[in-house]
Amino acid sequence: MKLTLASCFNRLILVATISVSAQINATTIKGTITFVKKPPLVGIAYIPIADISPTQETVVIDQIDKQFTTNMAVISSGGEVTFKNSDNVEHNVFANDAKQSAKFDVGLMQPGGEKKIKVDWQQNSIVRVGCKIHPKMRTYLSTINTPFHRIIEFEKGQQQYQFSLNQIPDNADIFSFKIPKYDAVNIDLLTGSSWEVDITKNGKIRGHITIIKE
Amino acid sequence: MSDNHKLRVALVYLVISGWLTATLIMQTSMATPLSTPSLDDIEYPEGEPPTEAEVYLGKLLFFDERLSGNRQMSCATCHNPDMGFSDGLKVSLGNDDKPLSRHTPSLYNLAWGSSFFADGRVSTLEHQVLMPIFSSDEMNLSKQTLLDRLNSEKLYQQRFKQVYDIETIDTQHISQAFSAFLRSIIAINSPYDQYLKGNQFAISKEAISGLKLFTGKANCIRCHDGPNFTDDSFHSLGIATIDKGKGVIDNDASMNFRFKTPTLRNITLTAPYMHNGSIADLESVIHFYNRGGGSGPNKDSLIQPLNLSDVEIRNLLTFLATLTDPILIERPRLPELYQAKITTISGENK
Repeated sequence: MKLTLASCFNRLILVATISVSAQINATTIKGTITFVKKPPLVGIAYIPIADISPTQETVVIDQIDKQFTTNMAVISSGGEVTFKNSDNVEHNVFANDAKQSAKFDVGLMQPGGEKKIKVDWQQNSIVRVGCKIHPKMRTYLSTINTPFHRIIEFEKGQQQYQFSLNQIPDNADIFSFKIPKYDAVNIDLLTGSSWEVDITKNGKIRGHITIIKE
Repeated sequence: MSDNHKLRVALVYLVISGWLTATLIMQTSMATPLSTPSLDDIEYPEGEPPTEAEVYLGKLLFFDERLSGNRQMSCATCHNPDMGFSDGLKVSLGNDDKPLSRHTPSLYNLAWGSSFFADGRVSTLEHQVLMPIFSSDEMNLSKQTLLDRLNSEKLYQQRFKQVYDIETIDTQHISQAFSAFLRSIIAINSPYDQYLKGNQFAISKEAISGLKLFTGKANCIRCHDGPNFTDDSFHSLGIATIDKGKGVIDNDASMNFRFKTPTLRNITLTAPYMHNGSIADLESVIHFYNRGGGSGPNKDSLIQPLNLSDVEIRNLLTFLATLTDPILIERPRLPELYQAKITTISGENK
């Protein structure tokens, strides 16, 4: 392969970028979540990033055995979500969360059907999505715009969970942890290197989260 | 036959029937297993079960006729514990005995419920419980009169103070107490549940054949699955022609004439059937499904003729009967309610 001056210059830029990234993305956050009693369905831990342009990604959520295939999906405001129906019964996916200005209804979806919705509601919200026909079905769309996130699915009978967020920027100042219907946990990362915070729902303690910055 | 041989035969029978049960219960891939409801799965709003005192307070309210405008009806008038928490009538009788448009639903295992009323208009018990009281068609009591009546009664003042540590009774705590009592109406020890626990003789061979039909040919499990034999889903069986059910709630024509799939636990105790009480007995319900449902609008494609024979219908009925676990409710002590009634009436007359 012939190396031109331009390609050498480009490689130099690439090396420089990687080395700067390595310097910035040096931190890992390790966490432990412990529930006092029965755990909820799902939660998300993330590092909010203020100066990042929204991505236009697409998320696909299927419906099988009268359940959504995921309990939570992350999508930026402006992105698209495709709902599929791989069940052999009809479904009707909808959301109606006035607080987050999130409202959509895909109408009846026959088996094999597919519908797309645009995420046109506010950033930094968690919106419940359900099925009008099967009210026990639920999934959540988390509209955060950060690559540093971890969805944690909880299980009946298991009270302790561990997670890590890798390669987060050194200058990250906030760690957030959210569970639908629970009080949000926000930790100031600029003060110390380990934290233990109560997880509460309507002010009542339901568990604890411990995080360590490494 | 020697004792050893008998023992071996019995063991083989137990292994085969255990395998058969597991196969039947899990047979339909999309169905949630027909298991016994787990108390751990109840989602209490406060995260933990209510106290006995809270449940008893809810029970007092449930049986108290002063919670209706004309003091003639309590919740138990329609949801009579001795009649499967229903009333045996085709449709409920509301304020001044005027017939309503729907049948009184039973109250079994609401603790696991995800939507309430036949049209699913609310998603929590706390939201649901006061609606019939305030409805002018049903118990016809205004919010203010409810609060006045309860706040002027020493019995309730004391009990609300004891349970919630409040001086003034409000609708939030009334609703909480009601819900605590309703969540305590739990039926999880039917012959079928005993069968699941390993008592192979708790249900008959005919019932096991019925279970096989339930999960197979009769297709019941498509909607009546899970521990409470319902997925709480909304379907049109071709019965309704005027009452649009969930379609009105959602303001969505595609949901017209759909009503909630009821639990089948204690189904033998709660005749008549369907949201409008239009089918008098359980055998007729199975014949109705066997014919492929009714001819009303927006009928669900799941409802198709089943071609069940008379013997199969009988076996299915036998299986449904194994879901029976009558709940005995000891009514509140009469002097307590009676005394409360006298005090309030005389208080209001002053």
